[in-house]
Amino acid sequence: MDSPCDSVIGDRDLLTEILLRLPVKQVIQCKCVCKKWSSLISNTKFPYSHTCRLYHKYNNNPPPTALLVQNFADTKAQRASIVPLHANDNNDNKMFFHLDLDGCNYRSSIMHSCNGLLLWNVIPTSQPGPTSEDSRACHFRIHNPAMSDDHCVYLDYPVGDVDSPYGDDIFEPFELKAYLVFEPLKQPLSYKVILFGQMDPSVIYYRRRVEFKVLNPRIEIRLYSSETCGWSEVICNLPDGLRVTEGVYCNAAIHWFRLDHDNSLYFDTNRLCFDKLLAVPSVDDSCVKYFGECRGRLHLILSDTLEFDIWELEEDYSSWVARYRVNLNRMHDGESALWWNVSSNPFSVLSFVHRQEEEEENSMLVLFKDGKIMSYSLEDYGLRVLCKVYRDEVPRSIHQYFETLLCVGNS
Amino acid sequence: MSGISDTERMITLKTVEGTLFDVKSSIAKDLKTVQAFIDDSDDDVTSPIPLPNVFTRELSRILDYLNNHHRFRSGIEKADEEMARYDAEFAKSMSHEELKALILAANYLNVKDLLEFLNQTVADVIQNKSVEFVRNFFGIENDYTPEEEEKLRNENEWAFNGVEQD
Repeated sequence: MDSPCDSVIGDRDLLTEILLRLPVKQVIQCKCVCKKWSSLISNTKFPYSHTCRLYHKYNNNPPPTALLVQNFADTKAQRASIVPLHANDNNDNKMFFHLDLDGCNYRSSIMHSCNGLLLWNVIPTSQPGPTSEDSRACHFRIHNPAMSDDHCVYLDYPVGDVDSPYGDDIFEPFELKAYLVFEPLKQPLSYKVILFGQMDPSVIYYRRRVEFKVLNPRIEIRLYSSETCGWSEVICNLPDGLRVTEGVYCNAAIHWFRLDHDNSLYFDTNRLCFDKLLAVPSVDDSCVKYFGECRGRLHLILSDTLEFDIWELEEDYSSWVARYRVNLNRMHDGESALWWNVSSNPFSVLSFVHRQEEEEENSMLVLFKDGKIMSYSLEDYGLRVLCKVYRDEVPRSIHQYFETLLCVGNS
Repeated sequence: MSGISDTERMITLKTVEGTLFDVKSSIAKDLKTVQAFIDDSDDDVTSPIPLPNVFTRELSRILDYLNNHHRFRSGIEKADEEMARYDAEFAKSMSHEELKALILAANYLNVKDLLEFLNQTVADVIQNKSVEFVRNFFGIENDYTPEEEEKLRNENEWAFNGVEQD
């Protein structure tokens, strides 16, 4: 009897059905099986089908597969450490994402990670010596690090205000935050990049000693849309005293918590305007341990002690709900209980990953202490070291990463 | 069409080896290829329906699966657990060759739920296995040169981290 193997691969639909059920990493490995498989996987419909299936499984809000940690102090490393979040992954072989930068004429950093795509800010360093003809000015790059660099999108900075008395022709804010808006399930694939630029410094020094705090620095918002292939300036209801600081992206909006005494607000990237965000009752700055997003919900963690509350904002933004009470005294490392004899919380919270009951893995907190990034399970109180950073200062740039096969660049 | 209710009618199927199987029409509905044949026929189908691509071993397994699943679905609440246990045993009872043969038969007969289950089973088998294992499982020859393969692996280094060595 003829071996049925050939027939199974002969049927493209059957093979597609099997590959659709594999995780992203494995699908990429399968490109090496043979050229036919590589062509099937790279075919434009397959990545989209695969992503749809994956997202559908998690109700359109998949949990992150890893955290990307960038350390700006490390000048040589223009890359992000990948800290895997699955129980089975180990980070003994440290893995990194990095941009393929031509020579050392650029510095790069990740500004934002959205649904599997990374937004990098690439700035030429002022190196002495000749620059190659291909060298570009400041620009952004958007790419899926899981796929080849062919699919990278290059975005030049927008033009500065040509009418400005300062005569700028490039956009050069004192503070810049950039966000990528990418909703992978919409067809055709499109994306937006939103820039928040603080055009005045926060503080002006007079005669090198006297500090003047700039009360209302000029803020400019720029929007790039892949549909129009161009930058535009966003004119909207800028709140008074707005400063450009790290915001949290969630559901196509960027959120800032307690910008000043009781002003939390968010910027809606569809309506292109600001709105007030509901405050959590009776909170002061000393007890905010974490403000972040996971799977389409905003989370706030408040505490001074080893016991803290995790609050979640309702989907319609109508109220904050106390979701979990976590006691870090109940901790073990798989073998023995761990005790902390300090009354204040020695941990920094890097992330809160929320998982549903029916999912295999537990909800967890990603904590940092003594140069170690660890996961703390909210179900069984187990503490596991995910990766060692060998630095005492809390990593400043943390991004959630989602594996996907989708790209927005043309090959 | 006669007035006899569907659940009583029996359909006869004939495999490649000539073996005959009597199947309730309610089960035959899940064999969409067979059902299409029945629907297309003007008269009631009395003679055995030949299945030129399906062997006895496969048809027997498919009918076994369908009969059990029908039983689970029409039974009482606890069926989900039993069904899961049955499915696990069913998958384990087959060698890789048998699994592949069964997929082909289920594909030809268009048995949607079983096909879904078998595709998932194959995905589970090859999950976390090396590229070599996947090639062997499907009987595929590597048509990359060593240099091409090396280049592909280097480009996708991140994806190859942490794979089981078989």
